[in-house]
Amino acid sequence: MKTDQPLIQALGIHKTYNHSHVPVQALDDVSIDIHKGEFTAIVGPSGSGKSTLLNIIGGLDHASRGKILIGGQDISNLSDSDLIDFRKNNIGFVFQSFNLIPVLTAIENIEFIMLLQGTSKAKRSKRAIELLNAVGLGDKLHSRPNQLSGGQQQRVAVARALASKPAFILADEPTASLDSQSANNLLDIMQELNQLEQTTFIFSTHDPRVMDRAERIIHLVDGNIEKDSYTNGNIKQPTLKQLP
Amino acid sequence: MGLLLKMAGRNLLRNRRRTLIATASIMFAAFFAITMTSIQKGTWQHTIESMLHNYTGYIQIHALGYSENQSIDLLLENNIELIKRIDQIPQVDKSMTRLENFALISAKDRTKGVMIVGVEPQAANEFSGIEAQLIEGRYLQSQSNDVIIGKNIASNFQLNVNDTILGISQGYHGNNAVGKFIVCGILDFGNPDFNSQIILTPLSHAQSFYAADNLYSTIVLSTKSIDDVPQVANALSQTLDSTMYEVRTYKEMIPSLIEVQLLDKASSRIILAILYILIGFGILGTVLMMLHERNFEFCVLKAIGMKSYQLFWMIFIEILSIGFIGLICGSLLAFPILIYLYNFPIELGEKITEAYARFNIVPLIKASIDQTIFFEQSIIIFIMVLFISFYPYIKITQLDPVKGMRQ
Repeated sequence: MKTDQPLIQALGIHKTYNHSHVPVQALDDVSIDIHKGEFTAIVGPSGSGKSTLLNIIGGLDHASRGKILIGGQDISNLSDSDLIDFRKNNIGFVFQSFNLIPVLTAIENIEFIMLLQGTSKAKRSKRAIELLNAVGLGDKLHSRPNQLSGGQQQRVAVARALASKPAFILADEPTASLDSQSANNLLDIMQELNQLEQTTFIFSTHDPRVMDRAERIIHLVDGNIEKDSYTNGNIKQPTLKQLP
Repeated sequence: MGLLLKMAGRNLLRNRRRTLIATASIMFAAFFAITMTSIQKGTWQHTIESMLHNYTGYIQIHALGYSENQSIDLLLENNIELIKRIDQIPQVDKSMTRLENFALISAKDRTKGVMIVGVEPQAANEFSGIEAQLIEGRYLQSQSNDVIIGKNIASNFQLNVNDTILGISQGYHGNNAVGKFIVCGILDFGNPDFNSQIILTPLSHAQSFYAADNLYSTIVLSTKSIDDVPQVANALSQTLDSTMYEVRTYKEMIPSLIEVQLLDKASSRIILAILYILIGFGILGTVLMMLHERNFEFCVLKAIGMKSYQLFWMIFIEILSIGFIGLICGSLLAFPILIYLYNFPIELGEKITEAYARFNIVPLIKASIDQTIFFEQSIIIFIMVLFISFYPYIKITQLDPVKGMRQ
């Protein structure tokens, strides 16, 4: 699945927060390469810096020192406005608490990202329906988030993350708010999308179910990479149809 | 923009109680602002119109220089074409001519300076409703040497109906003006100065008295609405030869009245300003509450790719919608009340009525249904919303998605 040129390069990332005027080192000289198509889990105890690393890779936060290259482009020095554009066009986000727009229906939530990208109405609708079908929610197009279960909301969030055809998807503890059945269903979908579409997924997680599926696990402890290992992953046979 | 409108609309419906409270505060403020402005304008309009109909008129036309030097030699020739042209101006309601000059009158053993005013009896009555103000005797008849005198002149000279007055003055171009007048009626002008100084006589008799046949000093106009005065004055200035005529509006003739009106308006503006500040803080409070409650949501939207200005548009539409829904509800609430007060003004108590009667004014609380009042309030609310929107704009541009989502 890997290509020679890394999709994401984190080079010597340092991040220091000021917590009540006391500097706290969240990341200390972290360097990683992630290739297209990888299904990577960043794991570690609370406070190990995994969410911070994910935020910096996603352009949501700035590193105190170091560089992030996405597809060869250095995003470390982009302005806030350019970073918003970059995130919109290159990165899909899946959050722990789903974070769907409460006033929009499932299909509108997915169309929303494409609307921000300037996609035409017809193309938006077509892709949103296909994505919802792909995550098994073809019958919930017009349901609002509060009419969906946690698992269903997270599947809509995955469909939303895929809507903009991003280079990779960042998922911050995506299974933390889900029951076991929903978590497994979600991971099935993500894994199949990874296999079928070569979609790159990067997780930050504590969840052994995610670690069990990941083909690469990066262990962070106190802001340092303690271990970075490739596994075979517990790969299931794909059941999803190819997305357009 | 379609989706932003949809999101804004649904956000308003999402927290109905907050929307309702914010809308209600604007609705009541708009109601009070519109009602207060309308009643103030309507009441003043009624007062000024009553005063102007009494004698001055809304606009006067004289020979050039008459307002500086009210000489009997600065008269206008009777010009039917000119009167026709004036009457053809669409906003002109009524017009009439007058010949006015000071004279000495004597009766019994007393003499006093007064103003003997020649009027067209029918036109003057239609203009000012003089006949209804008679307290004794009858109204003027054309082609007679009748006079109607103010009630204070009657009491000073101890005159009754059918008594005779002698008048002496300077006539047109140095002629002697001497004449005899028969009192046919005693009038309460409702104004102490008028009651002590004005004597009305038919225009033909005044022209004969002042040796000014076919001449008059003033053309008096009323317009269909007092708001038409500037437009009519402008039309007259363009129509009339400025080397022969001068046009004066009531604002130039009785500036003291306008000063009182401005003073009253100024005090009302202070009250309105306080009202607007209250509305402003009401909207600002709602905005602060909304920003606080939805901070997380805004951070998510920024994180997934919504730009600050797009987020601002959505909030701006929400604030503007609350403002205009409140304004429309306030207007709808005020409108029937103002229509009622326009058609059925409230008469004030006896004491106030007595005080105003001196000026021949029926004191009324009357509303104006001028559309500009509603329009002005819309503009003010819009400006206020624009002003208040600066705060969310600043807050949104400063939003840090990571911090916001962590909180």
